[in-house]
Amino acid sequence: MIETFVSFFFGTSDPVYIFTLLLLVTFGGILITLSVHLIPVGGAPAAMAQATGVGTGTTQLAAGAGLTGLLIAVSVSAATQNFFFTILLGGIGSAVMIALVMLMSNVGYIYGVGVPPASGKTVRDPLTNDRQDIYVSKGTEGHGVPTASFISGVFGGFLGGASGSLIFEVFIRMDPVLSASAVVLAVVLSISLFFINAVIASYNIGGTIEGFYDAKFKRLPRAVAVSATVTFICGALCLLTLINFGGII
Amino acid sequence: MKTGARPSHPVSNRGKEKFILFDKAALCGIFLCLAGVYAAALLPDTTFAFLAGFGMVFAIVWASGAVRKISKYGLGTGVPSVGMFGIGIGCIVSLYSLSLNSIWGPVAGTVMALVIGFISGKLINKVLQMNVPSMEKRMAEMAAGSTLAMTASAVVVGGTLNNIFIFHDYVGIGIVAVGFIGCSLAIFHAYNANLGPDEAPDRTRMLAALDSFLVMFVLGIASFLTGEVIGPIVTIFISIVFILISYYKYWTYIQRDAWKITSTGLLPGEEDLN
Repeated sequence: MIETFVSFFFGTSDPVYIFTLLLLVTFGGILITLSVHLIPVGGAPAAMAQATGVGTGTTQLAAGAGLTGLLIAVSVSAATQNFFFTILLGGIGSAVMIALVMLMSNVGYIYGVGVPPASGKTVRDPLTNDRQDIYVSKGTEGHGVPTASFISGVFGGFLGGASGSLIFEVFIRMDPVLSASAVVLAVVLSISLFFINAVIASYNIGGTIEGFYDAKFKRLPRAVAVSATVTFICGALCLLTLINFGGII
Repeated sequence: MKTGARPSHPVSNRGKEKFILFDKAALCGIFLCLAGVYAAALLPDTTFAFLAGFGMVFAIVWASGAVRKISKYGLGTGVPSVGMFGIGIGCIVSLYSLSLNSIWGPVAGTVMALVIGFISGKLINKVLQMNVPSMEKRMAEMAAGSTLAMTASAVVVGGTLNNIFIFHDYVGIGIVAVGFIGCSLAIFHAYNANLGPDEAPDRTRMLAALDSFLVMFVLGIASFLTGEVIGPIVTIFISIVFILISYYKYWTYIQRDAWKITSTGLLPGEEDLN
């Protein structure tokens, strides 16, 4: 009876190996949460040039960067089947994507709206030591993407893409054969995990953050705790799905 | 053209809401969706796959109601983020429940999604200190609604709960991506498009229904890839009929709620400019 119950839910596989993979997936989820904390997100106020960051929501920005990273990871994984190479190139793809987004939004802010990039949260830029407060327009919390936010965003994009690619690599390695169907399944499951963790981080920072120097960055441990728990549960379900579908692929 | 009075908004006793799923929306969402899924899966012909599409509509309307109730509180992160969280859990749990190859898969998936949604809502409220009243219930509703919607979208395409057919017809050729993004759009679009001080619940619900019929239409087109002919044609025909009906009803709600509708007129012609 118990064996039937266990095989109904868990299938039959080596538990230690599966648990190690599950820990890797959980680690990837935590890295996604960290990466969202590093990306400068301004939300709706930044769209009106009233807050520092790119003018869209956390989920959209993280998803854009993460999906670009996954796209590159899938092609690199299919071409080379190298674990670390896939993760590295996925991260670089995301970093390039988020850097282009920040660059083009800066072009829009500087030449379109006519405001200099300035941070409202610090007096001096933590990396270049430039004065920030005298450039902030009255009634706003900064505008554009200043240097420290830009560097932080590039690093966050790299972490996000690398962790998304890590989860994808774990999932694709669960399948016995590398086929197009297996890639679809692994991509859909890793996108789902990506969205879950991006939203958890988004709830933690309340929609807007400037980068690693923002006071909200200190709330990171809370998000890591929630992300680890939820990713552990959902990651277990993902691995069980891959085991159950594994016989068909 | 006024069709009836605008419904009044009762003052809800927020914070005192307990985790009970006996309201009408939840019962409709769970049982009608499961009825549609099982009818489509157990009837031997794929012609009846559209019944799962109706189930998907009820599930999406339920989930979008939950999105509305969370977002109304004002999270500061945007309505889409709420919907994407639900569909993330829903996609994983529904694929797991479909992979079980069991007739009880959808029921097990719904229960699992309710539990995971409740746990994550509790964690978000307590650990992240969002302190949104009844967050647990709404997260659970949203996760379960998304799970049911994704399961139903798989059955619309596959017409069965057999995991071999589901894998080759729904996951393998990539229709699962259409189901994922279609269901997520249908779940969060309704409130995102209607929010504001003049938001009316029945108008939001009707837009959610319209969105879900549009998803059903797209899934009907995608099911041609599985090699069936009669089933997709029936699904497409029925979804077009219901798209027109729900669009007309949504338009009447807009006319009811709008203060005044003016037409902008045609663009000036060549001789008017000279």
